[in-house]
Amino acid sequence: MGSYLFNRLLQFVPTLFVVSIVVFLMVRAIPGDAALVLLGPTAKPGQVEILRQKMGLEEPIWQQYLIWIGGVFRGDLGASAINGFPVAELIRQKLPATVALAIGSMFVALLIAIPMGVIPALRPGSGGARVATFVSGLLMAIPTFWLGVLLVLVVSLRLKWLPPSGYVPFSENPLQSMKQLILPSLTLGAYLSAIFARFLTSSLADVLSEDYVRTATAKGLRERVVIGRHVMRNALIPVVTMLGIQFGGLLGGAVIVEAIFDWPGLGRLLVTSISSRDYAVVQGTILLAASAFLFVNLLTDLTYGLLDPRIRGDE
Amino acid sequence: MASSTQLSSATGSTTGSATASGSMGQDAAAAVSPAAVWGQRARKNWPALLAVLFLLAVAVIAFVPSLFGVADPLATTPRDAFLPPSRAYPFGTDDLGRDLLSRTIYGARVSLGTALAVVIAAAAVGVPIGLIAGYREGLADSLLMRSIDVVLAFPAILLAMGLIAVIGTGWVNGALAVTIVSIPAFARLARASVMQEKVREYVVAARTIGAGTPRILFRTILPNCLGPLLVQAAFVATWAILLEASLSFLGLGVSPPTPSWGQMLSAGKTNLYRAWWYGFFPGLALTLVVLSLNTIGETTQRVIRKGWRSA
Repeated sequence: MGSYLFNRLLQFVPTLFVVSIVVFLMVRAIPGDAALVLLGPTAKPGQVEILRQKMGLEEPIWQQYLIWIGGVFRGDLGASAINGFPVAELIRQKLPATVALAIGSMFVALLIAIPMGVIPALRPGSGGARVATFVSGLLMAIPTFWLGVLLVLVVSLRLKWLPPSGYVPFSENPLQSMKQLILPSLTLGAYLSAIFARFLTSSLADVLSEDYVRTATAKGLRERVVIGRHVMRNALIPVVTMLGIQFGGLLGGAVIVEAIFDWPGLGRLLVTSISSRDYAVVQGTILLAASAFLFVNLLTDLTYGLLDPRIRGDE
Repeated sequence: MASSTQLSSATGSTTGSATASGSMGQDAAAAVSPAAVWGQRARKNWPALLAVLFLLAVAVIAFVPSLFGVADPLATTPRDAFLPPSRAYPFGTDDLGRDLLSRTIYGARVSLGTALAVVIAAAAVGVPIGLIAGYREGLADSLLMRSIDVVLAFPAILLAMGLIAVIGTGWVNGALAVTIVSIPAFARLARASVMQEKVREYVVAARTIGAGTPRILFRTILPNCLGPLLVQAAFVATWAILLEASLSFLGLGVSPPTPSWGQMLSAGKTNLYRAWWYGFFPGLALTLVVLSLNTIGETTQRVIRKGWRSA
């Protein structure tokens, strides 16, 4: 296990390094003085000079990178050109909404995926199995934004069950917060649930053909017990790792869903800062998202290695 | 790295099985008339056939709208603003009284045009990268594939948005950003296919008679990897359409007044209280096109896996 962990980490660090270089070069690739680009057209000459000094723009580019990455490690991601707030502070404000959305949609995805994946595996060819396969196919094909618009149309405007948009922190008003979380989570979780369901069906089929399942059935355990105690636990392992693999898609989907539901998260922050050419914010948000993406991928691989000895290959 | 399966629907597993089963079924098929064989195949794969016909119809109407008397998508009629679907306006009208049917039809140009441009450009860059990396291995392979991995180290839509932040919005820039994030899909598949093919006798034979590397790569190996690459093209097209629509939805893609589905969905979302049809129809069009392309891709994949004859 030690060497697997070491190798995987050995892969992770250089990738993170390259990602940071790409994000760093992003601002330098924009025509014009980098300090001026970051401060925006409203900057005063004195400010530009101070930032030029701070960024080390007179130094060679690799030193500029070291200055920048050093700042990142101290939590200094620069300041917004629009309102002068530190980028790290802006991200900290928006992060809770996005995390709530991510957790909510993962929860919804699993909630829908488990029945939708279990039925076709246990009762192949039955009516229920056909419905489940059809629904998962449909959920895979419907683009996120259209599903969001349809849900708002039907659930909020026609049935008036849930609010069409908005966000309240859980700590302020738990009930309202949960109500507002349902539709965005459903929108973002729908596609994931379809993927999980398909994955769960095939992984269940694999587990069901194992000898220990036949043994459990043969010794007279009821089907419910066999499935609940022996099959599900093993079938869920690959599905859980799938959660990690789909994390990138989740981040991308969050950008769309936040736009549909006026959800004040990182996705909104990124879109508004691109539109207003607030490059320090764009840079900080993308760096954070890409690092989170790589980190979750690392965790996924490590978990997988932990759960399945064949992968770490240390026999 | 980044075990991301963003685009891995068609991986190397489909490579090369077509040739083996193809010759076997030949005699059996020769007994029946070709028309009957075609009819049988069409009945069996009717969803894919329907999808092809649908896409063709959409493409013809969208690119030659004058044949069908499609109204001007930019003509505003303020007194007809926010009219629900009716005989005069089957998809209703928008806030400026523009005909949403013709705007939806013209929106197909952006979606299909992006798909075509992205697939061609991404394949033109990605396939040679994959071919060379897989054939040469060693240093060339490491360098090429590590640069592909850099693209995969970012969640695709975020990388596309970051690129747009640098190069600016608009159709061309949007398509360019989508192309860049689509290159790995072709490069990785081409590499996997080449690594499988290059040890086969026909490649060794070509090398023995003195064929140069470019000739071996593009004339000898590439034709034998085309099946999986075509399937991948269908999936990349789907994904390009969705990414373009996402960017336009966020206001980072095609600029108004050019009609695009993503942007119409976004405007429809703003006017949801007033006009359900505004966002409904462009979304439906998008869903149907995506569904069609997926069906075509999946059917082709199945056909290749099972062999052409038994399809």
